[in-house]
Amino acid sequence: MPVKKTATKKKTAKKTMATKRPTAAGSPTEAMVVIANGDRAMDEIARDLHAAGFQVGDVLEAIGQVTGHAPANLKSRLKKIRGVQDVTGAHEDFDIGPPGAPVS
Amino acid sequence: MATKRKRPASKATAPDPASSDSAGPDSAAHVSTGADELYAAALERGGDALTTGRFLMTFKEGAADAGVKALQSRSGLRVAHARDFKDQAVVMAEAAGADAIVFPEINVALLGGAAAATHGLTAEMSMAADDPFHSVDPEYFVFATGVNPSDYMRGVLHTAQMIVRDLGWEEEGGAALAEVGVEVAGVTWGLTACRVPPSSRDGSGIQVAVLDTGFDLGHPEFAGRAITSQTFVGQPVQDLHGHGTHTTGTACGPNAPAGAVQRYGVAFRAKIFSGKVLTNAGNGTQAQSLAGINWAIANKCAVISMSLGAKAGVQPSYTSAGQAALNAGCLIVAAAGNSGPGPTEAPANSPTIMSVAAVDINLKQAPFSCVGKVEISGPGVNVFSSFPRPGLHTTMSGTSMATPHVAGCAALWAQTSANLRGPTLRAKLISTAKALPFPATKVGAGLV
Repeated sequence: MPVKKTATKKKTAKKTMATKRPTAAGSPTEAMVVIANGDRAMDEIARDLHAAGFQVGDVLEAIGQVTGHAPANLKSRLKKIRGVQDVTGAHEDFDIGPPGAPVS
Repeated sequence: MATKRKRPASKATAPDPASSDSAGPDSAAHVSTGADELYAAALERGGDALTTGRFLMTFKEGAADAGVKALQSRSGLRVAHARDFKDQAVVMAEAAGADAIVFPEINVALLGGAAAATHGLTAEMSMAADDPFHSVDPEYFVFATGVNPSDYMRGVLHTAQMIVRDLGWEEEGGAALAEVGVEVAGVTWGLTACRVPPSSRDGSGIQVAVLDTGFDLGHPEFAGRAITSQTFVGQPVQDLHGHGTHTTGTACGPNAPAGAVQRYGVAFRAKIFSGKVLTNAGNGTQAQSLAGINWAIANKCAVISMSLGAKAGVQPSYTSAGQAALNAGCLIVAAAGNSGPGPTEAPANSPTIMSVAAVDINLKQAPFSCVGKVEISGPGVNVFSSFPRPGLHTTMSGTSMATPHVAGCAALWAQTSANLRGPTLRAKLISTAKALPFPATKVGAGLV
């Protein structure tokens, strides 16, 4: 766990939703986590997410989630996909600091 | 393992001098100085402590004798010769009066730091074409596998004693160091506080996942241990940061490390699952940590230890992952965070994840420990544990250090009954915690 110094904070903040990156079409995306409701197979959900424009990262069967990226304005559409319970943005990156930090 | 040998380092294997910021001469680094003393001095100098403060002069082929003469005549150095020793078996301690020792069979001379500084014989000196030597290079410590780790501890203690003396803390600090000396042969204060040593349990049959910066897979104190590893950050699991090796050591380190090293690991026979979700620079994303949780649950780990956190509100993904873990008979424990008195960070702030605060040796809440949603506390100040080679051990502080104490204790409890899994394991930890005289928002149910 980081004791974040100001400089580190700034750096982290940049990365944060700087998980935003452009899609092929040019619109910025952000890191998202899709939580499944358990009523449908994960690979089917992932397939539909992909078809809807979600860039699938990992399909996490054991916890019923799919990580990836999508434009923020796609969130409500993704939530309507069958088997999806929730779609959330990812928090800023972890940063425990460099080796040798006084508290971690 | 680890540490130093005073044998002149081979140029072929020596690290790049440019990478060291402590490659200058050390006037106390005589040719007769022992390796422990050199290493203690190097640690005191700071930097990366890779160089001894002495130098190695490499002669041109067949020019050793000419080189010696040049040294003696031009610089007035007192030069000892390996041939002065029976079978050329040089005993460094017997060369106390010498500024340099020549090893003619390998065309190398070892120069003491003071002599090198006085005569300008450093790595920066310029060579003339007709000089009998090729170069002067810093001497590096050689870190070999299989070296007794107590060597390192002696160096650390020696350094600590010197620092205390220099700072004028002799009287007060002397007592503290005496305690450290005792601890070296015993167990860490954290394990003692958690009542680990009297336990007959060792974590056998329990799989513990540590999601962190990876692990030093070649750490000699874990030789022969069952370790399953996986990276989620695109870097090898091998821990170049140190944080993951430290937290893993607390949760699952050995019962009796070789040499005079105190016991620092709780569940010393647990099977280790090392998931690298933080890079060697110490950062990682939410997706990577979720992937790590997923992996640990899929591999049927009973406990997941997460010494990481982000200043964010409750994340539904962690809450959901924590619930999935509980449903699968797995308990996630996570660091409350070090931004105290700020609120508990994510993922520890999720209701399905057990949040761990840090206390010090007096069982007082550490001031850096976050408050709010706290289930339990663990030792988190000045925690001694494993560290990547060559250091092997170090002392660190943070809720990161408190968390693996809880994870290790959870593994011990899990070993006692197959019914203690997930929610029941969590309840057991809370019901058996030692109550502390502080609000639950700071220390939860108390010390694990």
